[in-house]
Parts: sequence; C-alpha cells; structure tokens
Amino acid sequence: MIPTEVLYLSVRELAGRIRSGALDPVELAEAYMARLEELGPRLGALVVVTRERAMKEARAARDEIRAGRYRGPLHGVPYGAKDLIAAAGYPTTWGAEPYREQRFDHDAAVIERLTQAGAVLVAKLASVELAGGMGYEQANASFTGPGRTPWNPEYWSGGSSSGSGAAVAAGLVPFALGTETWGSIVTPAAFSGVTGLRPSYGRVSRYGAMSLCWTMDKIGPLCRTADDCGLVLAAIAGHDARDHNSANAPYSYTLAKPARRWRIGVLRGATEGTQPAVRDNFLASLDVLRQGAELVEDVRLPEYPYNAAASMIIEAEAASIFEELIDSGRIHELTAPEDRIGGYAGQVVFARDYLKAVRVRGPAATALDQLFAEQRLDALAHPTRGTVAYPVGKKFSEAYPDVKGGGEPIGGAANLVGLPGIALPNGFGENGLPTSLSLTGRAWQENKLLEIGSAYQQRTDWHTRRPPNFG
Amino acid sequence: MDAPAGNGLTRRDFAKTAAAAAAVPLLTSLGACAAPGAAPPAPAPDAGGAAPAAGGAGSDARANAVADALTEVVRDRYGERLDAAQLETVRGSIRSNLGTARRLREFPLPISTEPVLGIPVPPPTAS
Repeated sequence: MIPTEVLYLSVRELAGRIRSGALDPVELAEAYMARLEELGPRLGALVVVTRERAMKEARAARDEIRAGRYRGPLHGVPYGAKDLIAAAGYPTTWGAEPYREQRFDHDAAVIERLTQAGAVLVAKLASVELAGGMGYEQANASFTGPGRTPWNPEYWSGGSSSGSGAAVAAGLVPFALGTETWGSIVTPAAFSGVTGLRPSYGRVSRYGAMSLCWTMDKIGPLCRTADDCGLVLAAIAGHDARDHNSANAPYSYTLAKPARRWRIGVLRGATEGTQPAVRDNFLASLDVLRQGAELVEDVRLPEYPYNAAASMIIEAEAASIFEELIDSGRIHELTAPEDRIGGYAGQVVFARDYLKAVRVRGPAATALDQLFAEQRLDALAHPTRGTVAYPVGKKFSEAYPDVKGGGEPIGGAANLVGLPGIALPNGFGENGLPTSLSLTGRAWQENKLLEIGSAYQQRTDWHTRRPPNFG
Repeated sequence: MDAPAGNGLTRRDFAKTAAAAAAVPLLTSLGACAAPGAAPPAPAPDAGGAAPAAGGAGSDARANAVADALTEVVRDRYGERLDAAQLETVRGSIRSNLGTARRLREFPLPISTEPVLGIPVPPPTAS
C-alpha cells in the first residue's frame, strides 16, 4: 500500500520514483482513485473517477517504462481534469445540471497532449456551473455542491476550478487542469493553498473545453509546486489548428539562471483593503523575493477601463455562447438561484458596447507590454486575493464586510489582455486558511514566473504543507 | 472563469458601482482606476472602477428609461418564466451593464482603433 505521504509528493518527485521502478503507475493510480472516492465527495471536488481509462493508461505506462520507452516526467503520473474539459468515454458536465449526461466522443486537446505525455487521467473534477459565467454569488453553484478547501472544509475551495484546487491540496491528485477566464485558476489555488499557473492567452489550445468567453479563456495547471506547473505546461502548450486563437509560439520549459537580479514591480496599493494576514504574509513574501530581486515599489498600471472592458466582453460572449440554454429555459435548472436568471441581462447588451470593449483591449495590451519593457520588469507582485476563503453558506458579499478592497485592477487588466500569472501559497490567515502571492508576467514569459516562483519555493515551505485531517 | 484576482466585487457588483458613477458625467480623468470603497470580495471582477462625480438627474433618468426598455425586451422574450422579483433583479443587472457601457463610451479611442478578438500581444517570433 502506498503511504499517504507519497501521494503528496510533487510531480517531479513522483516521476523520479516511477522511472526508477520504485513506484508502479498502476498502484499509484489505484491509490489516488481510492483517495478520490473516499475524500473527493467530502470536498465537493469530484464528478467522476475515470477508472477504466485510468487503468488502461496506467498499465500502458507501466509496460512502456519497463520496456525502456520513457516518455518524460509525466509518464505514469495521475491527474484530474476540470469537468469543463472533454474526455472521451465519460460525461463532461460543465458543473451544470442541464449538461449532466453530456458526452463528447473526443478528447480535448489538453487531454490528448497529456495522454501523449503518458499521464494518467484518474478523475473529472468539479467546477462551478458553466465556469461561473452566470454570476454566482455563493459557493453552492454546482450540482456537485460547494467546493470545500481541505484546510477548513467549512470554507470554499475557490472557483470556478473548485475541484481542481481542493483535489491537489488534499493529495487526491498530484496535479490538475483548471481553466480561467478571470480568476478561476488563481482563486482556487489561493483558497486551497496550492500553486496555479494561468498561461498567456493563446498558449494552450482551448479545443474541447467549454467556452465561457472565447477571447479570454485559458487552460492551465494547478500543482504542488511552480516547477510542476512548468512540467505540465510543457506538455499541454503549443499551437493547435482547431483553436484559431492558438498561438504559433513553441514553448519549452527551461529555467535559466538569470543574467541579472530580477526586477519585480510591487503594485501600488497592493495591500489596500486586504485582511491583516494577507497583508503581513505579502510583505513577508516581498522580503523573500528581495533576496533574489530588486523590488520596484508603487507601480501603477496604465490607465484603461480594464474591468469595464473585461466585464462587458464576458457578458456579451457568454450571452452568445449560452443563448440556446437561455432561450430553451433550461438555464432555470442551474443550481444557484442567481445563476438561473444571471444570463438574461447579457441578452440585451448593445453590439457597440461590446465592440468598444474589444477595441480597448488592443491599446491596453500595448500599454501594459510597454510597462514591462520600459521599467524592465520581470513580474508584478500582488496578493492573489484580498482575503482568505469565504465561508460556505454565506453570500460572498457578506463574508468579510469590513474588507473594502482597493489597489490596481490587475485581475481585470491581466485577463483582458491575456497576461500570464502564477499564484503561490505564502502563509495562513484566519481560521487556518491559506493566503497567496501572485506574480503577473509579461505576455509569453511564463518561464520568468516559473523561475521566480521556484526560487520563492526553494526559500519557503508553504507549498509543502499538508491540510490537517486529510492525512 | 469568474473570480477576481484581487479584492473584488462580483462582475455585477462592479457594474452596479460603475452604473452609480456613470449615471452622471465623469469629472475625473477618463480611465482612472482610483478604486471606490469596494463592496466585499466575490468571485468576479474587482472594481478598480469609476470615481463618483457630481450629480445629473437627467442622465440617471435616461439610463433608467433605457434599462426599463431593455427589461421590457427581456420580459417580452422570456417573461413567462420570470416572476416579478426575478425580473427586477434582471433589471438591476441591465442597469449595471449600462453603467459599465457608459464608462467604456467615455474612454476615448482613436477612430482607427479596431477590435481585438485574437491574441492581444503577438508572441515573439522564433529566432
């Protein structure tokens, strides 16, 4: 029987043991699937264990590795996929009751690539219904129930990749795929205390994944370490003709020793309106970063209506994507009451308003790129979230009424123009819940974020912590 | 998708804030990101939004009239499945979206600025 502490190892650590024969991919897959079945429902993390597929892939991996045909660091490593991502042979439910029995006869591009890398799909993981696009206001917004962070299951695991965050945090899978239109990889990474990477828009093919917003959707990994995120990104990145916004930009995961100290911009007002622990942990993180970087304080973003543009784009594109769901009335089958009516306002957005938003995108993207170039910044640092996770059972707006927020609109800006970001656990706050540091990077510079993130994790141990009561 | 990477309002809370501010002409510099006292965090965009400006009952009345008209469109198409309270909630969301739209319209762009529906920053060319 594989000890529980092995199930908390990083992908890289598991890979070494798999390659050497110390770990059998079949036994490893069985161990994770048992843990998923036992603990996944408690965390609202699981849609389905993909047992038959997993056993087939695990046996193939074992046989190939024994025959000397090693595919790379993901060979034989189990993983879970957010249930917006199609995998042949299993339902792809989008977290939504109307699609509970939906099946596709093909794999999404990211699943194809992970299969090619020899990874083993063990589960489809819970998602907020329709990736949160109908405007959910509390955690119970999926037919699988609220996602719960294993650090304190009375609190939300974050969304919309709620199952992916919880599953990695609780050692149910070594890595998972999530998606982000605006916040849905980094938020569950923050609230679940794991590392999440949002790639540049266009870096990873969207083929086979549910669209919420064609021009803002990204797919990326949630892992235990930044290094693992690099390993997974290397497998899933790359041009795909089936996604017409897929970049022809080859990616390889290499950590170069920097020729100079990094320059990291600290956003103006980064801790404005945050919880005290978020502020304190962020400042402590800056002290760690300072060991390898020059910090540039008080960085302001160029002035654009980022949030307004991003909001308008999502509202209009989602309205089109889900028009059949809305017109048919099946939207009223969604779990969260506010989601049942959340799609109607988007049906009456004026075209000129949507077009204004997508016109803002171009100059905003250029201005942000120039900010990085002119100030020679490798990353922008800011807290991932201003608070720890919200309690399950309360409206988000009522969770922390004293926390007012503030600072630069980095979330809207980054997602409007497709900048990469990484969320790194950096401590704990109220009720034993994790806090998180984010680094936002220049477009196409994921490796810089992974380098800085890896260096941060060499100097800290937050990413190695395990939630109490989950082994 | 929807969770702000910061101290956030829901997308709809942001839109309500923008609506309140954009009901009247903005006196601050266009595109200013000075954050108002934001509503508590929630899983969608953070505000970073408009600063309130001096009053203009006329603009507010016009915006409400447009919201009423658009709500009537929704009622006409889908009214049989929405009760009065739900329709009122939908009206609130429409009103908020109009505020967001107003904020966007007040941000000047050269006439030559085209929409970007693809990759906003081209990747570096391979050497």
